[in-house]
Amino acid sequence: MKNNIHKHFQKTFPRILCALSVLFLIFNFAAASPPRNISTSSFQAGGSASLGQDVQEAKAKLQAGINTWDLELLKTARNQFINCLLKAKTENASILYHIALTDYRLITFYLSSSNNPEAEKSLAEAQKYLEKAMAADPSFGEADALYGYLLGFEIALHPEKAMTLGMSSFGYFSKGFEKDPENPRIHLLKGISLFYTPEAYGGGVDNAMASLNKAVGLFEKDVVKDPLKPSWGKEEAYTYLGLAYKQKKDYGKAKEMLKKALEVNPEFGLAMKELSGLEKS
Amino acid sequence: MKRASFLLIVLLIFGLLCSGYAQDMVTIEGKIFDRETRDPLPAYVMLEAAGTGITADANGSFKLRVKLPKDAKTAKLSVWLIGFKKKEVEAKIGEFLSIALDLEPLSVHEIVVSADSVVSDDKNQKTVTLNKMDIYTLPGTSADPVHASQVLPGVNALPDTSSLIIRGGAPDEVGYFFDGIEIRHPFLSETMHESYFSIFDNQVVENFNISTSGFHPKYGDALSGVMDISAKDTMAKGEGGLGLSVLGLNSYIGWPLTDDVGFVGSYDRGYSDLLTKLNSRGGDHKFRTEHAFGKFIVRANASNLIRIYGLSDRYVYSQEHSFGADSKNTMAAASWTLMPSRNFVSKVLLSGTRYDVALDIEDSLQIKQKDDILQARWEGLWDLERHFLEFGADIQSRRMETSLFDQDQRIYQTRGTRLGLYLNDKFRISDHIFMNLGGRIVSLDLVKTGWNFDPRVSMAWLLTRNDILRVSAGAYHQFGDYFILTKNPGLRPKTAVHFALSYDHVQEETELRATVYDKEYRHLFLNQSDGLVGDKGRGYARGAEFFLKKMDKRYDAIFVYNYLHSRRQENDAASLAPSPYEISHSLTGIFKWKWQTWSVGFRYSYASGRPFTPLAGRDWDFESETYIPVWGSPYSERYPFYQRMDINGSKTLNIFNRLVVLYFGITNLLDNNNILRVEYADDYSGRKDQPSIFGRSFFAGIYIPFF
Repeated sequence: MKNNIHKHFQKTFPRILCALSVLFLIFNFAAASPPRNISTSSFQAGGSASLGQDVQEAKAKLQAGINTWDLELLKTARNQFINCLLKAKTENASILYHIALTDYRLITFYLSSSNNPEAEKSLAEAQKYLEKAMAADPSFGEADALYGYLLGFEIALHPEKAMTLGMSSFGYFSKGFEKDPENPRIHLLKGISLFYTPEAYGGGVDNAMASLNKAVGLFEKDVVKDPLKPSWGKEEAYTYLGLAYKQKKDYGKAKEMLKKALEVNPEFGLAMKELSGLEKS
Repeated sequence: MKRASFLLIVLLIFGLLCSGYAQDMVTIEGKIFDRETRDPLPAYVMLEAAGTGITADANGSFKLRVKLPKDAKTAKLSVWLIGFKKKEVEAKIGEFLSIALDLEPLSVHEIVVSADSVVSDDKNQKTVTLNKMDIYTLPGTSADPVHASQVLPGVNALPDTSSLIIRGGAPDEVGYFFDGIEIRHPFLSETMHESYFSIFDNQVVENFNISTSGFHPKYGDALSGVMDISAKDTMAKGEGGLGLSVLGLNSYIGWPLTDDVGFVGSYDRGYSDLLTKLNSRGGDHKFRTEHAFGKFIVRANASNLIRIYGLSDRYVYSQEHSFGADSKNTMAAASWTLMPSRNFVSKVLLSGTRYDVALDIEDSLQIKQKDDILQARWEGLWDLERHFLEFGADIQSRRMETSLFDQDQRIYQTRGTRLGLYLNDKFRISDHIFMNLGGRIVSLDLVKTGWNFDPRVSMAWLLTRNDILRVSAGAYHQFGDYFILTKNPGLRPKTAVHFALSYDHVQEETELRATVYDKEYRHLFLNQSDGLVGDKGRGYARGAEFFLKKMDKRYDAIFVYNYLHSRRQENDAASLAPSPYEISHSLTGIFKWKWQTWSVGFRYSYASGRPFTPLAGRDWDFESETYIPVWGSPYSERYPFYQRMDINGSKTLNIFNRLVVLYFGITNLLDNNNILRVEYADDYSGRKDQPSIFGRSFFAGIYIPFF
């Protein structure tokens, strides 16, 4: 009788997700800075701008939603991306990816407010969009990586699927790396996922730091010219690196990284909250 | 005055302009639903004129407040939700809209068209699946992929045997593929009776796919079915572990050596001593096994991937003073995958396999067999959106040698080169109907029959989202034993024509399949009185199957029933007689219960007995001064029915920060004496029924992950 190698994932992933939802819960409270004056209506005026401009606008809206952790902003960004997709007429992999990316943020938002049914709906949507993105552009490694990352959420919602999905998740990450080895966002997602995986299961802060350092290095060289292509994540890479240093009790380095994150994006709520926490203590 | 009139004109023009552009806030309201299920859909509604829109709520309702030109009576809307077809609606202002959306057609790849494939692909929601984890957790499968597949519909083999009997076909009518390489000797011991393992190590299995008919033209030289196993590939992080059980040790590691190079390897060693001691069996037979697998995956650049892999298996079996076997399987292969463009993949595979077995019978006869195979395969995949083309060629050169040693030594040799070409087009006829149309041509230089053509066609019809009907028909050729062909080069290849109709109902937690099929055999080999072999034999296998799998948080349940009626005119059966592979009724029930860190599985298997040729009497032969048997009517008697009950269980523990798995199993819980063969005294004076070696036996083990 030979035996099962993958059973340990059954335990790992729910833990990752518990940790994730706790983190975002904290984030949620921390980011309760006064909402800025951005229209939260889901209907946006306009229509004559080019597709690139529209996508840029939607990306900005998404980032604003992440900065302030505002559900309405996230929903608005999502609508704008769908609008871009319909305008594009063809199945544009990058736009499909961005809708899924917005769904990913929505999932974490819903999980942090214990709204599992909504999280599940967003997850199902995100997966469909990514599957389409992967089909539309098979060389688009970022879609594979995000897909692999999202399988972690599926395990959190359906622990009974852990055994099979745990393996698939790593498979998608591998595919992502295979297609786009120098992509900072793939390293970032891997780093975040390792950050929340206990050390006993191959994760842990040291492993996470290796990926995050790689991501940070790549972000410094990352120039995204095409407005349709993904360009998020630099501030998050620094922030997570900061969190990793904090966990290693290297508070000096932690602050340094969080400051760098704020240099990239002065509005980034998670970094602001973490930095103020460190400075108070 | 002039000034005033000028102002008036300006105002007038401005007013006219304004009236031309006068806009009103209007509300467009409606509800969106799925045409088929009438479920509300949270679709996105875009107003074409403004280029903006809104997402409907969970009830499918939307309300769009928008400025439209005053005289606008209608507005053009685009309504869309992922997974559904985009719909354009001309909305009348002020009217409540009811918008029905249709499901978007599946892509050609998303559906298994062949009538009876079972795949382990988690994402394929439109066919019956056997999860690769089922290999580990199904009771009575020895954690072996081939044994696990015995619970599938269409597989009539008994759990005690290693070979697959697919829909009444002979065990050698099944083709086995491992990582693209055709494997001719997939079992550690080649017997229809009892065996523990195949050469495929479950630890490195990534996917497996079993076709019980209607299989793809890329597979040839198989009449009844195909089992295609692929080994693990690139991974992002290390994985692996070490297992210890009463059967020995097993270990596995998967490791990304660098960003571009990965390694997958496994090593197992097994001994029967402890197992037999633990189950207080007589020590008259024992075995040991050794297995090693290694694979390097090298990514040369974004579009080139090279894999180098090898496998080695050894099996030594001995039965005191009566029988000894020592078999070795070795394989080495290299493949190169090239993706020159987004929709085209080409793969070249070169491999060499060697099978080497020595049998020692009662210290009087020694048989040595060698089977060396060199293969080259080329496969191309071309994705043309509505069409998905697969084509390729394979060449296989085989050298076989059998040596017999008794008083003197006799050596028989043969070699043959087989060439095959195939083409398959998978395409969509409509939103609901998918087709596979393909064919294969094949030739073997040992025979004079030239090229043989196998046309294959199958269709899948999505009746509803969860119900699917599949039909397939196809011709299959198999050349048969090369030694027989060497002596009888005029033999036409054995032929089978399959017709199968199956209905699947696949929902998230329930998978159901019902199938009826007919397999007609022609050109089966018949022994002639002149010592030669003819090809006038024929036969058929007809049957029906039912499969139900239900999954829940707490339990998994599987129920399978197969009915088979088969006749064959083959070998010594000069007229149609019951097929030696006919298991008329077979039934398997499995229940797996999961609770916290515990899992317990229970399985019951029943099968009616296979036919065998009884002994009618004996004659004294004056010349050799021995008794010679007089056989009765071919396959006119049957073994008694078979039944077995198995139980297994596992518990996970957190020790040293590792998720350690403890497991146990009892095979043949009720210790049924299943008779799978009979033996005769040397003088044919009496018959002895031989019970299966799978008496009640207990085993246990532990698995410790490295990471």
